[in-house]
Amino acid sequence: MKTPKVFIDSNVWFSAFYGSANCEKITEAHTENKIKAVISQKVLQEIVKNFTQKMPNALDPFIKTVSVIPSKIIRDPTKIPQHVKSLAHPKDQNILASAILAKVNCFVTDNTKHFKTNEIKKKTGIKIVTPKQAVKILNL
Amino acid sequence: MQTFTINIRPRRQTTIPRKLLEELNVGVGDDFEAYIKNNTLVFKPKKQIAMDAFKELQKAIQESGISEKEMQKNLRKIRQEKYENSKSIH
Repeated sequence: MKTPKVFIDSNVWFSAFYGSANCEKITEAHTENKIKAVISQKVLQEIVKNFTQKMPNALDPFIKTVSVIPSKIIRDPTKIPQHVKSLAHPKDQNILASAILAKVNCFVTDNTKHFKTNEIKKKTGIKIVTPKQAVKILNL
Repeated sequence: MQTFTINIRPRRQTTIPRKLLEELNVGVGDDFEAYIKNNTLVFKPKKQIAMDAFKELQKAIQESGISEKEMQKNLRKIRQEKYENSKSIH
């Protein structure tokens, strides 16, 4: 069976760093090759900027963590496709467009309410899920 | 400590005893980091290195005393700012 590709939003990474059980299961599954974690350049920049602004001491351990078993990093789209614009909150359209380009199976975020989940599933096949739902559907 | 003899076959191929892999909780498809230390060949599972690095990161976060709520709030601010900037560019 093909390893599922899972886009992990920046808020989920931070919940994992802080020890949220479901979010940790997702990052651990990536470490164990049970899933292939995907992020966009924008998500990576957000995480790095957050550490730089609030917690510079944690930046080095973060870089070490992501460099050992790297996630697939998708380029940010130069333009948001028209059909994506109706599917998510304007500030999340960029990362949704990246996830669509990466052909992920699911997109994990703490802010599912920013996405038209049913329409996205129907049009792209991508399941927009909370960490708890991801753990269940991916059998983690 | 049980030791094993490992033979190197043509084209430098070898078989790692199952028991060693089971003890490390690794299997087919897993990656190792390999290096020489004091004339000894060391194999360290990549997932173990990743987990160690992750724990180190969690420790640094804990020691900072900054709450997750504050970090998530700043994260939302960063995304909002990026969106505002991209709007002003277009």
